[in-house]
Amino acid sequence: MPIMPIMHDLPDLRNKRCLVTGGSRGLGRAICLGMARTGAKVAFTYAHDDGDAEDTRAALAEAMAVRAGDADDPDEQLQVYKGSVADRDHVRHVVRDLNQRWGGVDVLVACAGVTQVLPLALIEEEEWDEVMDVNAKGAFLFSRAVAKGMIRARSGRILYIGNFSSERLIEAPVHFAAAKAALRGLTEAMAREVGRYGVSVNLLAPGLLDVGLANMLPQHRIEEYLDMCPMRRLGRVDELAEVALFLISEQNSFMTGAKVVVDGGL
Amino acid sequence: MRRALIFGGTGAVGSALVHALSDRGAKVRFTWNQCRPAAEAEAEALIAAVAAAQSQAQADATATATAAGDKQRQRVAPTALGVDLSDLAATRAVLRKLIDDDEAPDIIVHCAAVADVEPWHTLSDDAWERSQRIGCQALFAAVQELAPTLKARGGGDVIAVGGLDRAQSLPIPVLYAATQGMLSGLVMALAKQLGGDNVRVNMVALGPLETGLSHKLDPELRAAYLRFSAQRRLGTAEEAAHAIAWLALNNRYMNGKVLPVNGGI
Repeated sequence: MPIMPIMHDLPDLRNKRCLVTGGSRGLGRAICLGMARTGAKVAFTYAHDDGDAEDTRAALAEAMAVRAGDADDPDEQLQVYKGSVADRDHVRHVVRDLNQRWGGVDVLVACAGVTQVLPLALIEEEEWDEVMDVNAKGAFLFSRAVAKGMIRARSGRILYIGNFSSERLIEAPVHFAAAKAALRGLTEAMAREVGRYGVSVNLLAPGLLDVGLANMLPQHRIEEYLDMCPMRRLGRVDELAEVALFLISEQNSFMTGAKVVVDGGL
Repeated sequence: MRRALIFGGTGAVGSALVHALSDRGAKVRFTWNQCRPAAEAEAEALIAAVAAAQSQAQADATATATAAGDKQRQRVAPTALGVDLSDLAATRAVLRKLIDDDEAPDIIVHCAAVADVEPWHTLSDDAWERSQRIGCQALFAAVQELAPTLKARGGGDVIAVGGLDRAQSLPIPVLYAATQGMLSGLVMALAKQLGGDNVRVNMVALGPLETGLSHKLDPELRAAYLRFSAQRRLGTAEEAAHAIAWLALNNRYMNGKVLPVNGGI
Protein backbone atom coordinates (compact mmCIF):
# COMPACT_ATOMS: atom_id res chain seq x y z
CA MET A 1 0.00 0.00 0.00
CA PRO A 2 1.70 3.25 -1.07
CA ILE A 3 1.98 5.75 1.73
CA MET A 4 3.80 8.43 -0.25
CA PRO A 5 1.54 11.43 -0.62
CA ILE A 6 1.34 12.81 -4.14
CA MET A 7 0.50 16.46 -4.45
CA HIS A 8 -1.96 17.56 -7.03
CA ASP A 9 -1.08 21.20 -7.38
CA LEU A 10 -2.46 22.65 -10.54
CA PRO A 11 -0.80 25.76 -11.91
CA ASP A 12 -2.58 29.07 -11.68
CA LEU A 13 -4.34 29.78 -14.98
CA ARG A 14 -6.56 32.55 -13.67
CA ASN A 15 -8.12 34.58 -16.49
CA LYS A 16 -6.11 32.75 -19.16
CA ARG A 17 -8.16 32.46 -22.32
CA CYS A 18 -7.81 28.82 -23.30
CA LEU A 19 -8.98 27.00 -26.40
CA VAL A 20 -8.92 23.19 -26.59
CA THR A 21 -9.73 21.33 -29.79
CA GLY A 22 -11.30 17.92 -29.30
CA GLY A 23 -12.31 18.90 -25.78
CA SER A 24 -15.54 16.99 -25.31
CA ARG A 25 -14.02 13.73 -24.08
CA GLY A 26 -10.89 11.86 -23.06
CA LEU A 27 -7.70 13.82 -22.53
CA GLY A 28 -9.13 17.01 -24.05
CA ARG A 29 -12.00 16.96 -21.57
CA ALA A 30 -9.63 16.38 -18.63
CA ILE A 31 -7.47 19.31 -19.77
CA CYS A 32 -10.56 21.55 -20.04
CA LEU A 33 -11.62 20.54 -16.52
CA GLY A 34 -8.17 21.31 -15.12
CA MET A 35 -8.26 24.70 -16.81
CA ALA A 36 -11.72 25.45 -15.41
CA ARG A 37 -10.67 24.46 -11.90
CA THR A 38 -7.69 26.76 -11.97
CA GLY A 39 -9.51 29.86 -13.05
CA ALA A 40 -9.18 29.90 -16.83
CA LYS A 41 -11.74 30.87 -19.42
CA VAL A 42 -12.32 27.73 -21.46
CA ALA A 43 -13.52 27.17 -25.00
CA PHE A 44 -13.56 23.74 -26.58
CA THR A 45 -14.43 22.32 -29.95
CA TYR A 46 -15.87 18.93 -30.81
CA ALA A 47 -16.82 17.24 -34.03
CA HIS A 48 -19.69 14.81 -33.54
CA ASP A 49 -21.09 13.75 -30.20
CA ASP A 50 -23.48 16.37 -28.81
CA GLY A 51 -24.13 14.26 -25.71
CA ASP A 52 -20.46 14.16 -24.73
CA ALA A 53 -20.13 17.87 -25.42
CA GLU A 54 -23.11 18.66 -23.22
CA ASP A 55 -21.75 16.50 -20.39
CA THR A 56 -18.43 18.28 -20.62
CA ARG A 57 -20.06 21.68 -20.74
CA ALA A 58 -22.04 20.84 -17.59
CA ALA A 59 -18.93 19.59 -15.79
CA LEU A 60 -16.99 22.73 -16.74
CA ALA A 61 -19.84 25.01 -15.70
CA GLU A 62 -19.92 23.27 -12.34
CA ALA A 63 -16.15 23.59 -11.90
CA MET A 64 -16.35 27.27 -12.77
CA ALA A 65 -19.26 27.87 -10.40
CA VAL A 66 -17.27 26.33 -7.55
CA ARG A 67 -14.43 28.73 -8.26
CA ALA A 68 -14.48 31.46 -5.69
CA GLY A 69 -15.31 35.05 -6.48
CA ASP A 70 -13.87 35.57 -9.95
CA ALA A 71 -16.81 34.79 -12.19
CA ASP A 72 -17.71 38.08 -13.85
CA ASP A 73 -19.96 36.44 -16.41
CA PRO A 74 -20.04 32.64 -16.20
CA ASP A 75 -21.65 32.26 -19.63
CA GLU A 76 -18.87 34.21 -21.29
CA GLN A 77 -16.16 32.14 -19.60
CA LEU A 78 -17.26 28.92 -21.24
CA GLN A 79 -17.68 28.53 -24.99
CA VAL A 80 -18.43 25.39 -26.99
CA TYR A 81 -18.12 25.02 -30.76
CA LYS A 82 -19.14 22.14 -32.98
CA GLY A 83 -17.21 21.51 -36.18
CA SER A 84 -14.29 19.78 -37.82
CA VAL A 85 -10.81 21.09 -37.02
CA ALA A 86 -9.93 20.45 -40.66
CA ASP A 87 -12.64 22.85 -41.85
CA ARG A 88 -11.01 26.23 -42.27
CA ASP A 89 -14.33 28.09 -42.05
CA HIS A 90 -15.05 26.47 -38.69
CA VAL A 91 -11.55 27.37 -37.47
CA ARG A 92 -11.91 30.95 -38.66
CA HIS A 93 -15.31 31.26 -37.00
CA VAL A 94 -14.12 29.89 -33.64
CA VAL A 95 -11.08 32.13 -33.40
CA ARG A 96 -12.89 35.21 -34.66
CA ASP A 97 -15.71 34.65 -32.18
CA LEU A 98 -13.27 34.22 -29.29
CA ASN A 99 -11.36 37.32 -30.33
CA GLN A 100 -14.61 39.25 -30.19
CA ARG A 101 -15.77 37.78 -26.89
CA TRP A 102 -12.50 37.56 -25.02
CA GLY A 103 -10.19 39.85 -26.94
CA GLY A 104 -7.87 36.98 -27.88
CA VAL A 105 -6.62 33.50 -27.04
CA ASP A 106 -3.67 32.94 -24.69
CA VAL A 107 -3.48 29.16 -24.87
CA LEU A 108 -4.23 26.68 -27.64
CA VAL A 109 -4.23 22.95 -26.92
CA ALA A 110 -4.64 21.00 -30.16
CA CYS A 111 -6.01 17.73 -28.90
CA ALA A 112 -8.48 16.68 -31.60
CA GLY A 113 -7.52 13.30 -32.97
CA VAL A 114 -8.97 10.40 -34.86
CA THR A 115 -7.80 6.99 -36.03
CA GLN A 116 -8.93 3.61 -37.23
CA VAL A 117 -7.06 0.56 -35.96
CA LEU A 118 -6.28 -1.03 -39.31
CA PRO A 119 -3.31 -2.74 -40.96
CA LEU A 120 -1.61 -0.90 -43.82
CA ALA A 121 -3.26 -2.95 -46.56
CA LEU A 122 -6.76 -2.08 -45.38
CA ILE A 123 -6.28 1.67 -45.02
CA GLU A 124 -8.19 3.47 -47.76
CA GLU A 125 -6.90 6.70 -49.20
CA GLU A 126 -9.90 8.55 -47.74
CA GLU A 127 -9.03 7.21 -44.29
CA TRP A 128 -5.43 8.36 -44.67
CA ASP A 129 -6.69 11.83 -45.63
CA GLU A 130 -9.13 11.99 -42.74
CA VAL A 131 -6.52 10.99 -40.16
CA MET A 132 -4.01 13.47 -41.59
CA ASP A 133 -6.63 16.22 -41.76
CA VAL A 134 -7.87 15.89 -38.21
CA ASN A 135 -4.59 15.13 -36.46
CA ALA A 136 -2.16 17.32 -38.40
CA LYS A 137 -3.94 19.83 -40.63
CA GLY A 138 -6.37 20.79 -37.88
CA ALA A 139 -3.45 21.61 -35.57
CA PHE A 140 -1.92 23.75 -38.32
CA LEU A 141 -5.17 25.61 -39.08
CA PHE A 142 -5.86 26.46 -35.46
CA SER A 143 -2.23 27.42 -34.81
CA ARG A 144 -2.23 29.76 -37.78
CA ALA A 145 -5.49 31.29 -36.66
CA VAL A 146 -4.39 32.03 -33.08
CA ALA A 147 -0.72 32.82 -33.76
CA LYS A 148 -1.43 36.28 -35.12
CA GLY A 149 -3.02 37.45 -31.88
CA MET A 150 -0.36 35.75 -29.76
CA ILE A 151 2.44 37.40 -31.72
CA ARG A 152 0.75 40.77 -31.36
CA ALA A 153 0.42 40.16 -27.62
CA ARG A 154 4.05 38.97 -27.45
CA SER A 155 2.79 36.02 -25.42
CA GLY A 156 1.11 32.70 -25.96
CA ARG A 157 1.24 28.96 -25.38
CA ILE A 158 0.54 26.29 -27.97
CA LEU A 159 0.51 22.64 -27.03
CA TYR A 160 0.02 19.77 -29.44
CA ILE A 161 -1.08 16.37 -28.24
CA GLY A 162 0.96 13.76 -30.08
CA ASN A 163 1.26 10.08 -29.35
CA PHE A 164 3.99 7.62 -28.36
CA SER A 165 3.33 5.70 -31.58
CA SER A 166 5.32 8.31 -33.49
CA GLU A 167 8.23 8.05 -31.03
CA ARG A 168 8.67 4.31 -30.74
CA LEU A 169 8.95 1.46 -33.17
CA ILE A 170 5.70 -0.19 -32.18
CA GLU A 171 2.71 -1.71 -33.90
CA ALA A 172 0.44 1.26 -34.64
CA PRO A 173 -1.89 2.35 -37.43
CA VAL A 174 0.54 3.85 -39.94
CA HIS A 175 -1.59 6.86 -40.86
CA PHE A 176 -2.04 7.73 -37.19
CA ALA A 177 1.69 7.38 -36.42
CA ALA A 178 2.56 9.45 -39.48
CA ALA A 179 0.08 12.20 -38.59
CA LYS A 180 1.37 12.37 -35.02
CA ALA A 181 4.95 12.51 -36.31
CA ALA A 182 3.92 15.50 -38.42
CA LEU A 183 3.11 17.31 -35.18
CA ARG A 184 6.75 16.93 -34.13
CA GLY A 185 7.95 18.86 -37.16
CA LEU A 186 5.19 21.40 -36.67
CA THR A 187 6.25 21.85 -33.04
CA GLU A 188 9.91 22.46 -33.80
CA ALA A 189 9.45 24.74 -36.79
CA MET A 190 6.63 26.71 -35.13
CA ALA A 191 8.67 27.10 -31.94
CA ARG A 192 11.58 28.49 -33.92
CA GLU A 193 9.38 30.85 -35.89
CA VAL A 194 7.34 32.34 -33.05
CA GLY A 195 9.75 31.95 -30.10
CA ARG A 196 11.14 35.43 -30.53
CA TYR A 197 7.64 36.83 -29.97
CA GLY A 198 7.20 35.17 -26.61
CA VAL A 199 5.06 32.31 -27.93
CA SER A 200 6.07 28.82 -26.88
CA VAL A 201 5.12 25.64 -28.74
CA ASN A 202 5.50 22.18 -27.25
CA LEU A 203 4.39 18.63 -27.93
CA LEU A 204 3.04 16.21 -25.35
CA ALA A 205 3.21 12.59 -26.52
CA PRO A 206 1.27 10.30 -24.16
CA GLY A 207 1.64 6.55 -23.98
CA LEU A 208 -1.41 4.33 -23.89
CA LEU A 209 -4.04 5.87 -21.62
CA ASP A 210 -7.11 4.53 -19.88
CA VAL A 211 -9.18 6.44 -22.45
CA GLY A 212 -9.23 6.82 -26.22
CA LEU A 213 -7.07 4.52 -28.32
CA ALA A 214 -6.82 1.83 -25.61
CA ASN A 215 -10.56 1.28 -25.87
CA MET A 216 -10.17 0.41 -29.55
CA LEU A 217 -7.31 -2.07 -29.15
CA PRO A 218 -7.62 -5.82 -28.66
CA GLN A 219 -6.66 -7.06 -25.20
CA HIS A 220 -3.42 -8.71 -26.36
CA ARG A 221 -2.11 -5.37 -27.62
CA ILE A 222 -2.77 -3.76 -24.26
CA GLU A 223 -1.03 -6.61 -22.51
CA GLU A 224 1.94 -6.20 -24.85
CA TYR A 225 2.15 -2.53 -23.83
CA LEU A 226 1.94 -3.40 -20.15
CA ASP A 227 4.72 -5.98 -20.59
CA MET A 228 7.01 -3.38 -22.13
CA CYS A 229 6.11 -0.57 -19.76
CA PRO A 230 8.26 -0.56 -16.58
CA MET A 231 5.42 1.01 -14.58
CA ARG A 232 3.17 -1.90 -15.61
CA ARG A 233 0.06 0.17 -16.06
CA LEU A 234 -1.70 2.44 -18.53
CA GLY A 235 -1.43 6.18 -18.07
CA ARG A 236 -4.36 7.88 -16.40
CA VAL A 237 -6.04 10.74 -18.13
CA ASP A 238 -5.75 13.04 -15.09
CA GLU A 239 -1.99 12.43 -14.91
CA LEU A 240 -1.56 13.48 -18.51
CA ALA A 241 -3.85 16.48 -18.09
CA GLU A 242 -1.63 17.66 -15.23
CA VAL A 243 1.42 17.48 -17.51
CA ALA A 244 -0.44 19.47 -20.15
CA LEU A 245 -1.48 22.11 -17.63
CA PHE A 246 2.09 22.51 -16.45
CA LEU A 247 3.35 22.83 -20.02
CA ILE A 248 0.93 25.68 -20.81
CA SER A 249 1.45 27.47 -17.50
CA GLU A 250 3.50 30.56 -16.73
CA GLN A 251 5.70 28.35 -14.57
CA ASN A 252 6.95 26.69 -17.70
CA SER A 253 8.66 29.64 -19.33
CA PHE A 254 11.96 28.31 -20.72
CA MET A 255 10.69 25.29 -22.62
CA THR A 256 9.75 25.50 -26.26
CA GLY A 257 10.11 23.24 -29.26
CA ALA A 258 10.18 20.38 -26.77
CA LYS A 259 8.75 16.93 -27.14
CA VAL A 260 7.63 15.51 -23.83
CA VAL A 261 6.95 11.78 -23.95
CA VAL A 262 4.95 10.46 -21.00
CA ASP A 263 4.60 6.71 -21.34
CA GLY A 264 5.67 5.16 -18.06
CA GLY A 265 9.17 4.46 -19.38
CA LEU A 266 8.47 2.41 -22.50
CA MET B 1 5.32 15.46 3.42
CA ARG B 2 7.73 14.79 0.58
CA ARG B 3 11.41 14.64 1.51
CA ALA B 4 13.91 15.80 -1.07
CA LEU B 5 17.66 15.33 -1.20
CA ILE B 6 19.50 17.63 -3.60
CA PHE B 7 23.04 16.80 -4.58
CA GLY B 8 24.69 20.17 -5.20
CA GLY B 9 22.39 22.61 -3.44
CA THR B 10 24.56 25.71 -3.38
CA GLY B 11 25.03 26.20 -7.12
CA ALA B 12 22.76 28.53 -9.11
CA VAL B 13 20.17 25.92 -10.07
CA GLY B 14 20.62 23.90 -6.87
CA SER B 15 19.91 26.84 -4.58
CA ALA B 16 16.92 27.96 -6.68
CA LEU B 17 15.63 24.41 -6.39
CA VAL B 18 16.07 24.39 -2.60
CA HIS B 19 13.81 27.44 -2.56
CA ALA B 20 11.31 26.02 -5.07
CA LEU B 21 10.88 22.69 -3.30
CA SER B 22 10.76 24.23 0.18
CA ASP B 23 8.18 26.75 -1.00
CA ARG B 24 6.06 23.88 -2.25
CA GLY B 25 6.09 22.20 1.13
CA ALA B 26 8.83 19.61 0.75
CA LYS B 27 11.40 18.93 3.45
CA VAL B 28 14.70 19.60 1.71
CA ARG B 29 18.24 18.43 2.42
CA PHE B 30 21.02 19.58 0.15
CA THR B 31 24.70 18.84 -0.13
CA TRP B 32 27.58 21.26 -0.52
CA ASN B 33 31.26 20.70 -0.83
CA GLN B 34 33.68 23.04 -2.48
CA CYS B 35 35.39 25.75 -0.46
CA ARG B 36 34.07 24.89 2.98
CA PRO B 37 33.80 28.34 4.68
CA ALA B 38 32.13 29.92 1.64
CA ALA B 39 29.83 26.96 1.17
CA GLU B 40 28.90 26.93 4.86
CA ALA B 41 28.13 30.63 4.74
CA GLU B 42 26.09 30.17 1.58
CA ALA B 43 24.25 27.21 3.04
CA GLU B 44 23.39 29.20 6.16
CA ALA B 45 22.24 32.17 4.08
CA LEU B 46 20.14 29.85 1.95
CA ILE B 47 18.47 28.29 4.97
CA ALA B 48 17.78 31.72 6.47
CA ALA B 49 16.42 33.06 3.17
CA VAL B 50 14.16 30.07 2.64
CA ALA B 51 12.92 30.22 6.23
CA ALA B 52 12.15 33.94 5.86
CA ALA B 53 10.36 33.39 2.53
CA GLN B 54 8.39 30.57 4.10
CA SER B 55 7.21 32.53 7.11
CA GLN B 56 6.25 35.42 4.80
CA ALA B 57 4.35 33.04 2.51
CA GLN B 58 2.65 31.49 5.52
CA ALA B 59 1.57 34.93 6.73
CA ASP B 60 0.31 35.82 3.24
CA ALA B 61 -1.57 32.56 2.93
CA THR B 62 -3.27 33.13 6.25
CA ALA B 63 -4.17 36.70 5.37
CA THR B 64 -5.60 36.13 1.89
CA ALA B 65 -7.84 33.61 0.21
CA THR B 66 -5.77 30.91 -1.44
CA ALA B 67 -5.97 30.21 -5.16
CA ALA B 68 -7.24 26.92 -6.53
CA GLY B 69 -4.96 24.10 -5.48
CA ASP B 70 -2.72 26.41 -3.46
CA LYS B 71 -3.33 24.79 -0.13
CA GLN B 72 -1.59 26.07 2.92
CA ARG B 73 1.18 23.65 3.73
CA GLN B 74 3.41 22.92 6.60
CA ARG B 75 6.80 24.40 5.75
CA VAL B 76 10.15 23.23 7.00
CA ALA B 77 13.53 24.96 6.74
CA PRO B 78 16.06 23.05 4.62
CA THR B 79 19.11 21.30 6.02
CA ALA B 80 22.65 21.41 4.63
CA LEU B 81 24.92 18.35 4.45
CA GLY B 82 28.65 18.78 3.78
CA VAL B 83 29.85 15.96 1.56
CA ASP B 84 32.33 15.56 -1.27
CA LEU B 85 30.39 13.65 -3.95
CA SER B 86 33.66 12.49 -5.53
CA ASP B 87 34.21 10.50 -2.31
CA LEU B 88 31.70 7.72 -2.86
CA ALA B 89 32.31 6.08 0.53
CA ALA B 90 31.56 9.37 2.29
CA THR B 91 28.50 9.91 0.09
CA ARG B 92 27.15 6.45 0.89
CA ALA B 93 27.79 7.00 4.60
CA VAL B 94 25.64 10.17 4.54
CA LEU B 95 22.83 8.31 2.79
CA ARG B 96 22.98 5.38 5.22
CA LYS B 97 22.75 7.78 8.13
CA LEU B 98 19.60 9.31 6.62
CA ILE B 99 18.11 5.83 6.31
CA ASP B 100 19.10 4.92 9.87
CA ASP B 101 17.56 8.14 11.16
CA ASP B 102 14.34 7.34 9.28
CA GLU B 103 14.89 10.46 7.20
CA ALA B 104 15.43 8.85 3.80
CA PRO B 105 14.24 11.08 0.94
CA ASP B 106 11.62 10.06 -1.62
CA ILE B 107 12.91 12.66 -4.07
CA ILE B 108 16.55 12.61 -5.18
CA VAL B 109 17.76 15.42 -7.44
CA HIS B 110 21.26 15.27 -8.80
CA CYS B 111 22.29 18.82 -9.54
CA ALA B 112 26.07 18.55 -9.27
CA ALA B 113 28.57 18.67 -12.11
CA VAL B 114 32.17 19.57 -12.78
CA ALA B 115 32.33 22.40 -15.27
CA ASP B 116 35.67 21.52 -16.77
CA VAL B 117 36.31 23.49 -19.90
CA GLU B 118 39.91 22.33 -20.31
CA PRO B 119 40.77 21.34 -23.90
CA TRP B 120 40.30 17.62 -24.44
CA HIS B 121 43.93 16.97 -25.44
CA THR B 122 45.31 18.11 -22.07
CA LEU B 123 42.68 16.47 -19.85
CA SER B 124 44.15 14.26 -17.12
CA ASP B 125 42.86 10.84 -16.12
CA ASP B 126 42.16 12.23 -12.65
CA ALA B 127 40.00 15.04 -14.05
CA TRP B 128 38.06 12.48 -16.10
CA GLU B 129 37.46 10.25 -13.10
CA ARG B 130 36.48 13.10 -10.78
CA SER B 131 34.02 14.50 -13.31
CA GLN B 132 32.29 11.17 -13.76
CA ARG B 133 32.16 10.47 -10.04
CA ILE B 134 30.55 13.80 -9.20
CA GLY B 135 28.52 14.12 -12.38
CA CYS B 136 27.11 10.61 -12.52
CA GLN B 137 28.43 7.92 -10.18
CA ALA B 138 27.30 9.75 -7.04
CA LEU B 139 23.72 9.56 -8.31
CA PHE B 140 24.11 5.86 -9.01
CA ALA B 141 25.41 5.31 -5.47
CA ALA B 142 22.48 7.26 -4.06
CA VAL B 143 19.93 5.22 -5.99
CA GLN B 144 21.67 1.99 -5.01
CA GLU B 145 21.53 2.94 -1.33
CA LEU B 146 18.02 4.37 -1.33
CA ALA B 147 16.15 2.07 -3.74
CA PRO B 148 14.97 -0.41 -1.06
CA THR B 149 13.61 2.42 1.08
CA LEU B 150 11.92 4.05 -1.92
CA LYS B 151 10.29 0.76 -2.76
CA ALA B 152 9.17 0.21 0.83
CA ARG B 153 7.61 3.70 0.95
CA GLY B 154 5.60 3.09 -2.21
CA GLY B 155 7.72 4.94 -4.74
CA GLY B 156 9.53 8.17 -5.40
CA ASP B 157 11.31 10.32 -7.93
CA VAL B 158 14.90 10.46 -9.11
CA ILE B 159 15.88 13.43 -11.27
CA ALA B 160 19.19 14.04 -12.98
CA VAL B 161 19.81 17.63 -13.95
CA GLY B 162 22.03 17.87 -16.99
CA GLY B 163 22.88 20.11 -19.85
CA LEU B 164 22.21 17.98 -22.88
CA ASP B 165 19.18 16.13 -24.12
CA ARG B 166 21.22 13.65 -26.17
CA ALA B 167 19.32 14.74 -29.29
CA GLN B 168 21.50 17.58 -30.49
CA SER B 169 24.97 17.86 -31.87
CA LEU B 170 26.52 20.77 -30.01
CA PRO B 171 30.11 21.96 -29.57
CA ILE B 172 30.47 21.11 -25.86
CA PRO B 173 33.59 20.39 -23.79
CA VAL B 174 34.41 16.70 -24.26
CA LEU B 175 34.51 15.67 -20.62
CA TYR B 176 31.26 17.44 -19.77
CA ALA B 177 29.54 15.86 -22.79
CA ALA B 178 30.83 12.39 -21.88
CA THR B 179 29.61 12.71 -18.30
CA GLN B 180 26.23 13.95 -19.49
CA GLY B 181 25.95 11.03 -21.89
CA MET B 182 26.70 8.65 -19.04
CA LEU B 183 24.08 10.35 -16.90
CA SER B 184 21.35 10.13 -19.54
CA GLY B 185 22.16 6.45 -20.16
CA LEU B 186 21.93 5.83 -16.43
CA VAL B 187 18.53 7.54 -16.29
CA MET B 188 17.14 5.48 -19.15
CA ALA B 189 18.33 2.18 -17.72
CA LEU B 190 17.41 2.88 -14.08
CA ALA B 191 13.91 3.87 -15.19
CA LYS B 192 13.42 0.36 -16.55
CA GLN B 193 14.73 -1.21 -13.36
CA LEU B 194 12.75 0.89 -10.91
CA GLY B 195 9.52 1.73 -12.74
CA GLY B 196 7.80 -1.38 -11.38
CA ASP B 197 8.34 -0.06 -7.86
CA ASN B 198 6.69 3.24 -8.77
CA VAL B 199 10.06 4.99 -8.75
CA ARG B 200 10.31 7.35 -11.72
CA VAL B 201 13.73 8.28 -13.04
CA ASN B 202 13.97 11.25 -15.40
CA MET B 203 16.36 13.89 -16.60
CA VAL B 204 16.00 17.64 -17.02
CA ALA B 205 18.26 18.94 -19.78
CA LEU B 206 18.91 22.63 -19.29
CA GLY B 207 19.94 25.11 -21.92
CA PRO B 208 22.36 27.92 -21.12
CA LEU B 209 21.31 30.02 -18.14
CA GLU B 210 22.21 33.53 -17.03
CA THR B 211 23.99 32.06 -14.01
CA GLY B 212 25.87 28.96 -12.92
CA LEU B 213 27.92 26.72 -15.18
CA SER B 214 26.90 28.74 -18.24
CA HIS B 215 29.25 31.48 -17.06
CA LYS B 216 32.09 29.29 -18.19
CA LEU B 217 30.73 29.03 -21.73
CA ASP B 218 32.85 30.33 -24.54
CA PRO B 219 31.45 33.83 -25.34
CA GLU B 220 31.21 32.87 -29.00
CA LEU B 221 29.12 29.84 -28.13
CA ARG B 222 26.88 31.95 -25.94
CA ALA B 223 26.38 34.45 -28.77
CA ALA B 224 25.60 31.63 -31.20
CA TYR B 225 23.05 30.25 -28.78
CA LEU B 226 21.35 33.62 -28.43
CA ARG B 227 21.19 33.88 -32.20
CA PHE B 228 19.81 30.40 -32.86
CA SER B 229 17.61 29.50 -29.90
CA ALA B 230 13.88 29.98 -30.44
CA GLN B 231 13.47 32.30 -27.46
CA ARG B 232 16.74 34.16 -28.16
CA ARG B 233 17.55 34.56 -24.51
CA LEU B 234 19.26 32.72 -21.70
CA GLY B 235 17.17 31.05 -19.03
CA THR B 236 17.19 31.80 -15.33
CA ALA B 237 17.95 29.45 -12.47
CA GLU B 238 14.40 30.00 -11.23
CA GLU B 239 12.91 28.87 -14.53
CA ALA B 240 15.03 25.74 -14.36
CA ALA B 241 13.98 25.16 -10.74
CA HIS B 242 10.26 25.47 -11.56
CA ALA B 243 10.52 22.70 -14.14
CA ILE B 244 12.58 20.43 -11.87
CA ALA B 245 10.22 21.05 -8.95
CA TRP B 246 7.21 20.19 -11.09
CA LEU B 247 8.81 16.95 -12.16
CA ALA B 248 9.79 16.13 -8.58
CA LEU B 249 6.40 16.80 -7.00
CA ASN B 250 3.72 16.35 -9.64
CA ASN B 251 4.86 13.86 -12.25
CA ARG B 252 3.33 10.42 -12.00
CA TYR B 253 3.69 8.70 -15.40
CA MET B 254 6.74 10.22 -17.10
CA ASN B 255 9.65 7.83 -16.68
CA GLY B 256 13.06 7.36 -18.28
CA LYS B 257 12.65 10.56 -20.25
CA VAL B 258 14.34 13.89 -20.81
CA LEU B 259 12.52 17.15 -20.14
CA PRO B 260 14.32 19.70 -22.33
CA VAL B 261 14.25 23.13 -20.69
CA ASN B 262 16.40 25.05 -23.09
CA GLY B 263 14.53 27.92 -24.73
CA GLY B 264 14.26 25.95 -27.95
CA ILE B 265 17.48 24.63 -29.47
